[in-house]
Amino acid sequence: MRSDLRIELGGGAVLRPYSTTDADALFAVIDSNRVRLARWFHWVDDATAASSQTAYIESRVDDGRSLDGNGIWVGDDLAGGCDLMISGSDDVGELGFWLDEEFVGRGLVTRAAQALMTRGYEDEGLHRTQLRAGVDNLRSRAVAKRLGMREEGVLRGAGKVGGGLYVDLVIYGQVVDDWRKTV
Amino acid sequence: MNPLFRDLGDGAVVRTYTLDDAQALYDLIDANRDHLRPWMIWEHSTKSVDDTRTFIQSCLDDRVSIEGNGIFVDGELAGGIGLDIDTLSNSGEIGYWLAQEYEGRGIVTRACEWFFDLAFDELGLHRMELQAASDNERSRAVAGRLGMREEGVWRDGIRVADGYLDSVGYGILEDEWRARRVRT
Repeated sequence: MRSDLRIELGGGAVLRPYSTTDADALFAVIDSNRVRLARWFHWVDDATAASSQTAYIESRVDDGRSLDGNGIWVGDDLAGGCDLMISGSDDVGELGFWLDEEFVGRGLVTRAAQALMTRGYEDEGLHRTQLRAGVDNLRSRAVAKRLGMREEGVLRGAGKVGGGLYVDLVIYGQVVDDWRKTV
Repeated sequence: MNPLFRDLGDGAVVRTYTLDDAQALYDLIDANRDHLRPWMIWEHSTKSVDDTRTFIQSCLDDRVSIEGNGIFVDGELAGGIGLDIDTLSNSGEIGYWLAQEYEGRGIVTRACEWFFDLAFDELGLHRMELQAASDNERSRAVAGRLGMREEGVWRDGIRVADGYLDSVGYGILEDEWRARRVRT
């Protein structure tokens, strides 16, 4: 994560990393979206109390590079999360995101992901970004299309979700040359 | 994970590297540079025995994945095989290489079969993956012999010394592996 990250998304929305004081808000939003989110994310099962979110936030260390551990804030409300995970010295970034049901449909995730991808390509020298989304997660897949990512295949049973179940994941990819053509 | 040892038959053995293997590993890579360079980014970064020692130590320190294993034939190092484990998705990725003179004997396929047994039976993984450069026909043939299914092509998915190569992704699920083992 990058503790200095702060990106204005327009309409009063901001993308910034969580701090430990956000643990209560993060738990509350996950808890009220539990059933929706558990269809796609195994980490919902680990969110059992505000303290588990404190542990998650504290596990995000500033490595000066990876663009993960970020919340999307609309005013004082936590609306969701958006990450571009970069492992070590790799030049591949992996997108991930989720939203509170109330904030769906405003383009927040698309704007947040675009901003992170721009940072990743321009500042961190990424060559490729990718996203894995549940085959039936049509909203996430629509985001991938809006971001100009290309569908590359289906990873069978590769997504562990809530309740110990597995789902097929569509993988989307974009290489930096394709991204340059879109900006 | 305790050190692994497996006799694959016909004089072939897989076992976890120790630091004593660093010299043999460096020498084998050094003797196979032209053979490895098209596919393996680490060929270029392996400049001395210090690098192979560092690699082996990092594998020995890894509490999750099982990446540092040698394939030996008649006691001589012939190649390497590693299992990278992703605990979040409960899946593993297999990777391997073989010195040119040992190719064509099915050694890598047998080593992979044993690792798949280990992954599904002992480690309880749900899925195994393999990435092979789209032009690496030998590696892709191994995936086929293992009964893995081709799942897509990731553009520029593999970084090599000269740039990037498209990567073919293969996958096999636990129940598919068990069904296959019953048949064969």
